[in-house]
This record gives sequence, structure tokens and C-alpha cells, in this order.
Amino acid sequence: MTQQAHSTRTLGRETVAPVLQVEHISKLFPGIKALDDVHFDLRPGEIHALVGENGAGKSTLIKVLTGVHQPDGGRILMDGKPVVMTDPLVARRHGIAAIYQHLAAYPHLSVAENIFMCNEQRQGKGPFISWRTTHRRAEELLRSLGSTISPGELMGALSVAQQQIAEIAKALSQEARVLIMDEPTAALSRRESEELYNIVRRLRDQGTAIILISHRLEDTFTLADRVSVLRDGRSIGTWQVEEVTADTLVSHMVGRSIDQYYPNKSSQVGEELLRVEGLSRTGFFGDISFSLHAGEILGLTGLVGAGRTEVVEALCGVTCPDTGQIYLKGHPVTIHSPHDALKQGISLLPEDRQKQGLLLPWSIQHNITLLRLDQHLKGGLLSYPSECKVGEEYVRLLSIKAQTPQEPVESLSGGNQQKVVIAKLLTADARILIMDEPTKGVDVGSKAAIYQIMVDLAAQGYGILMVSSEMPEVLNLCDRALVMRSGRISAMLRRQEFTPEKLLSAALPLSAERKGEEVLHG
Amino acid sequence: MTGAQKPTGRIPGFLRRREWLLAVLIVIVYFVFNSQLPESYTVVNLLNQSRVYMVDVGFMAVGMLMVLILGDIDISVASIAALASTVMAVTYNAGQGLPFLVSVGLMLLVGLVCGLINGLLVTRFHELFPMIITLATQTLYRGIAYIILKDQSAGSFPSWFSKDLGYGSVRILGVEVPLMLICILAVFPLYYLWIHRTAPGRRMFAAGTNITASRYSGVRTDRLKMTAFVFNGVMAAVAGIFLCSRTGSVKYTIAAGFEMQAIAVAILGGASTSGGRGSVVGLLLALVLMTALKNGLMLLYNDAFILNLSIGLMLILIVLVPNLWNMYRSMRTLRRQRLAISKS
Repeated sequence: MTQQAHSTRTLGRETVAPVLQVEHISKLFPGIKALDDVHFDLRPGEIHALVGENGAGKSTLIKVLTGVHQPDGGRILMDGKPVVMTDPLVARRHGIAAIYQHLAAYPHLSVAENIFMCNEQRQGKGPFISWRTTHRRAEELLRSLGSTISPGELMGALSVAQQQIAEIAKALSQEARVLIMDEPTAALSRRESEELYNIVRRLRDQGTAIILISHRLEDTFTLADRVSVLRDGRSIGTWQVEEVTADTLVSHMVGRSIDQYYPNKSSQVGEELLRVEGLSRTGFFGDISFSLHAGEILGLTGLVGAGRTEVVEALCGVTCPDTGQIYLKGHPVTIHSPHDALKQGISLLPEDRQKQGLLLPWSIQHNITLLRLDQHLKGGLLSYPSECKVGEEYVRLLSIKAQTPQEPVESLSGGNQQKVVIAKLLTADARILIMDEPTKGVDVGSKAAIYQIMVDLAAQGYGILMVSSEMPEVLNLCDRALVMRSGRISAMLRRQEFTPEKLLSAALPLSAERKGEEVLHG
Repeated sequence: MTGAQKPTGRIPGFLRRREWLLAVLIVIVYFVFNSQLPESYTVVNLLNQSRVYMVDVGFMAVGMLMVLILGDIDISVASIAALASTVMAVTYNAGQGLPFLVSVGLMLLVGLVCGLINGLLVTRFHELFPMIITLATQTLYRGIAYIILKDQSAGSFPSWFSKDLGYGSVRILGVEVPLMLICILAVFPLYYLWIHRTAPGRRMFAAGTNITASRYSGVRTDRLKMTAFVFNGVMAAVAGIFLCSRTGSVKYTIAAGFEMQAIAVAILGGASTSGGRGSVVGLLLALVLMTALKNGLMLLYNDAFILNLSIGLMLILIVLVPNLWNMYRSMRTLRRQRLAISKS
């Protein structure tokens, strides 16, 4: 605890009074103390990163600041004066705007309509909306952010990165002095993140105070001026970014130091399990050929939108490729559905565990047994004891942190939820394991555990195809890495050849290669 | 969460499950009406009236429950029953046409085909809501029944059908139990095993809870939906059989409005229109509760309008009570936590 959060310190430039202060804030939910005496302050023109594991209380703090939740104790000050955020509209009037992880956009409305939602530009004082003013002002806002998005375009037609920018424009239209960004880069590729960083920096220089929440430590270190750590609903401390290293930050977040983040992978690469030849799906990817061996972790990387998820979905029968052939242990197969894929021995850990991986209200054990209910039949009926046994076995095997296997998965942390999905896949006896962003939205402690599980599985002879946007993951875990660029494989690198530069230059669009170099060295 | 499917631990003791709540309500309803009408409102009378209130709606609700568990809805069941009954009555033609049992077989076939059409439309056109699809087939099926029968009514069924099945009973332990009540009660144990204890049953709950995650887990969701809609169609036709035997004749308006009653009973029994929830025991208890309530209200007021009103009230009540309980409990926990803080 290096300092009290509400003390005023120099920012390297001059002493500034904080625009927003949070003092002794507590928030209770039935049975849990989500926030416990939390301190936080924010100065104009700074980017303040808020980090912590899942469930540390970041989201709750944001909801208290934006008036979604009422605190049970403590107070919020703006410009040194206490304010009460009775509802989100009041928070907005005080100049606090939030951009959420899961965007709250209206995909069927235009960008301009989204920007001025609940803040419509009317003709004088009349009841009618002035579309001309709406579009003109939307255009001004977007151009001021250096974006070329047309205000008339449908929100749903934009990429996630562009939607993000439209949301920022919306916050600006409300003259926000405090901008809260919750995991803004989670769904963005490296290049898109870089563009977002530039916009955020420009806003900071104009005097906007920004709270940044991100699981990517990279975001914190490239963007933030100060960083605050929350753990189990408590303030752990606030530091200047220059004062801390990634390791110390991580140990503050998890409350202990993580000795070995990436486990040593020692398994031998064995026989060929899967071979793909010339797989194509018009409009998504083309001419994909590669092979996967037992005991191997094969990385599939590239920018978001390069077609990686589409390729693995085709392998697992979620979609059907137009041409190309898939071979399993040398035999040609056709896969029409996830059911077929599982029967043939290919299982998929989907990208979005909450929507595609889990039945959230169901218990851990019922989630795990869903894949192979046939293993639990006694006289044609499901046997509860048999399901319990398997549930307990996997909870122990993967050290899923839960009181009992009967606990609903929605009450688990992101990392433990991911372990439940992995447990489910393991019941399938499928030797080919495809993992799409296995550590997305997972806290640091669980990340290390998931890496360990992957390495152990490879040692048992599983072939793992890992789709990942996180370069360190690919560099440290994979035996080989495939890089995709606009629907095609642009490079296949062996472990000995791995360098961040090589991976990145293969991933970036050809015309933007120069820009990528700047990103890398700048 | 009303706590019908998973014990959340928030609703205490015996009210934790919808089934127990229903059982308590049945006892209350029985004793309230019994004290008002000690002579006419008795177990014997309830058993007698179960023919009217429990059997045909009950069969429709059995089929509907499966569709609701999958997160879909089918509002064409009453029309299926009407079309199937029409086809039966017309082909039998008061003894002039096909043999009676062949006509009944044809009736079941009509139910199956109607369900198949619903299922095909729902699984082939994912972008259309089952509500809209079955709204279309609802008018379509009843329209066909009208084309066949016009304003006529058809009937003159064999006497064993309209007398023995319709009004016959079996003496069990000194009580006359209607034959058709025994028929529907016999369905429940098998249905329970199917829904709650087999792998396909579990997968139906899975598909209703999260269809995408289920598909990724190898559950063949379209196949399950087809099964549910076809089963629902056949059950509607079965409901039609019992309705015909009770009324003795068929008009194209037969069973009008029954689909809403079937949905209401299933929801009263713990199902949800958003899918993934439902209980066979709850369904049976909800049927008994409706019978007890409707019978009492009819005896007291002798006006059919009171019936619809009572169903509405009962639905609001039973869906609301567990939620109010939850709200009260979490408020109490919060107050206790706040107290503990202010003391420390």
C-alpha cells in the first residue's frame, strides 16, 4: 500500500485536483461484500487503469459510479463536492460515460441514431427529430476522432472496433468528463487496439479523465498513467505505471506471486492425427492446409477477422466448407455437425464460453456429463450417482474451485467456467482438441492453470489446435504456429523460428506492414 | 429464478419447489370449497368432473410441456384436435364409412402429420418464431376442418365409445374412477421417465436452456424439436379422441381456446416460455389444481366466464409468490449485513 488513494500527487506535469474521488465505498449483495472500503481517484487528463481478477469488484465499482447500483457506504465526490448517483441519467448529467465490454448498441439503427440515443437532436423545442443536425453532429464527432465511419451506416454493419469508436463518439456527444472503458480491446486485433490507443490518448490530451479496465496487461502498460489494483472487493493500492512491473502487478492482483506462468512443454510430437487439405469456404477462408500431430500444441494466430474462428468452426461441423478434404489418421472424413465431429474425435472449446460453451444455470456436473450421457445410463435411465462420480472426478482433476459439483456454473469465476468446458470436452474421448481463445476473459491465476492443463493433455497424446490472439501465449506454448491473413495461411513457423516480429509481419495486411513495424518499435 | 427447477436455497423449506407449492394450494382450494359446499363439492364429485376439466386439456398440456421445455411454443394444438376429430367423424360417417378403429387411426395420423408440418417449418426456418408459424397453422388446420364440415356437426359414434369411454368408470377401492381419468394418469409415469430420466429428455432441457451451447456439445437440436412437435401433434389428436367421446359429436369449432389452457397449465406446473424448465409432476399437480378450482367456481357461480378469470388469477399468483419470497429474503439478508457493519 504505497499511498492513500485520495492524496493529490504530481502527474509529472503539474499538481491537478482530482475530477472524481471515491471514498470508503462499500457495496453489499446478498451474502457477498462486492466492494469493501474502496478508494479511488481520477484526475483530469489521465488514464487510470483499474485491474484485478474476475470478481475483484471492478464491474461493481463501475456500476456504482454510473448509478446502476447504489453504494451501501462511502461517498463519491466530483470536483471535490459530494454527489449521489441515484440513477444512470444523473451520472450522465455529471459527465460520466461508460463503454461496456458487451456493447449496448442498437444494431438495427444507424450510427448517428446510436450516438444520439436518449439525447435526440430536436428541431428547436418541438417534438420532432432533426435528422440533418443529427447527421451533421455525428459526422463532426466521428471526424474529430479521426474516423471515416459514415453516420448513416447501420451499427450492426460495423466491425467491433468501429462500434467501439461510435460508442466513444456517443460519450463525447454527452460532453463526458469521465470516460469509463470496460475491456475495450477484448475483441480487437492488435492493429485495431493500436488505433483505439491513439484515440484514447488524444482524448486524454484534451483533458478527459479515463478509467480503463482491461485484462490485457499490455493495455495498462502502453496506455495508463496510473494503475489501481482491486482484489476481493478491496483496494490494494495505486501506483504510477513506471513504478511497477508486470510481475509485481500480477502478484498484487492474485495476492501471491506466480512462479511459473508458462509451464515447460516437454511432450514428444507423435503420429499425425488430423490433416486438412485445401479447405475453403467462399467469403471466409481459402486453401487452408495443415496437419496436427499427437502431443502437439499447434497455434493458429492472426488478426481478429482473419478467418481463424471460421476455419475451426468448419473443422467441427458448425459450418460446412465448400471444398477441401479433412483426413483423420489418414482417412478422409466428412463432418456435417458438431455431433459428427465429436463422434469422429474432434472436440471444440468455443470462443464464447457463456453463449456457446456452457449451460449457465446448470450444475457443474450436468454441464460436464451432457456430452456423453450414454455413459451414465443404467437400464436406459440416467444414473445420478454415476453423474456425481464423474463430476467429482473432474472437479478434482482440473482443480475447479467450487464447493460441490452441484453448484451452478454461473456462480463460478471465468477461469473455473473455462475449466468446466474443458472437463466436458475431455469426457468425449476425442483426441483432437480445438481451443478457440482458451484464456479469453480469464484471470491471471486461472490462465496459468489452463496452460498447465493444455501441456498435460499434450503429454497424454492429445493434439491441440489453439486459436489465440495473444502473442506471448503462442510464443511460449506452441510447437508450431500457423498465421492467417485475410482468410489464408500466410506463414507456418516452427518453435525455433518464433519471433514476435515474424508472427506479426505474417499477420498484418501486406499494405500495412510498414505501419506494423512502427507499432512494434514505437 | 422462481426456484422451480434448481434449489437456489433462497426459498425456504417446503415452498422451495413448485410441486410442493401446488400441493399446498390444492389442499387449500379443496378445503375452502368443501366448507362452502359440503354436499356437492366432494372427492367423488371432483373425480366425476375430472372428465370435463382434466382429460382433454391434460393430453394437450402433456404434449405442450415438451415443446415449452425446448423453448418453443405451439398454439395450433386445439386446431389439430379439431381437424383430427373432423377427419375421424367424416370418415366413420355414422357407421356408413370406414371401420371405427381405422377412423381413429386416421385421426392419430392427422395429428402426426400436422405436428410434422409444424416441426418442419420451425426447424427449417430458424428466423421465424414458432409462435408465428403455429399461429399460421392454427388458422390453416381449423380452416380445413371448416371446409370439410362447414356448419354441420357429425357424430353417432359407436356406443362403447361415447358411453363407456366417455362416461364409464371403474370401481377402485369403493370409488367410481372415470375410465378416461385412468387413461391420462397412466401416461404420467412413462412421461416422467422420458422427460426426467432419459438422455433425450435431458438434452431437451439442455436445448431449451442454451440452444447454441447444446449444439456445440453434439446435441442434435433440430431432431429433438421435430420429436417434440410431432409428439405434441399426436397428443392433440389423442385429446381429440377423448373430447369426441365426451361430447358425442364434432363441429369445426371443437376445442376452441384449449391451446391457451394447455399452455397455462404447463406454466402453472413450472414450465417457462423461455425454455429449459418444466416438470411432469408439476404438470399433473397443476391439472389437479385447475380441476379443483374450476369445479368449485362452477358450482358456486354457474358461469363459464369465472373459469377464465380464475386461471388468470392463479397464474399471476403462482408466478409472483416465489419472486416476492426471493425479494423479501434478499432484503432481509442485506439488512442483516448492514447491521453487522454498523455494529463493527
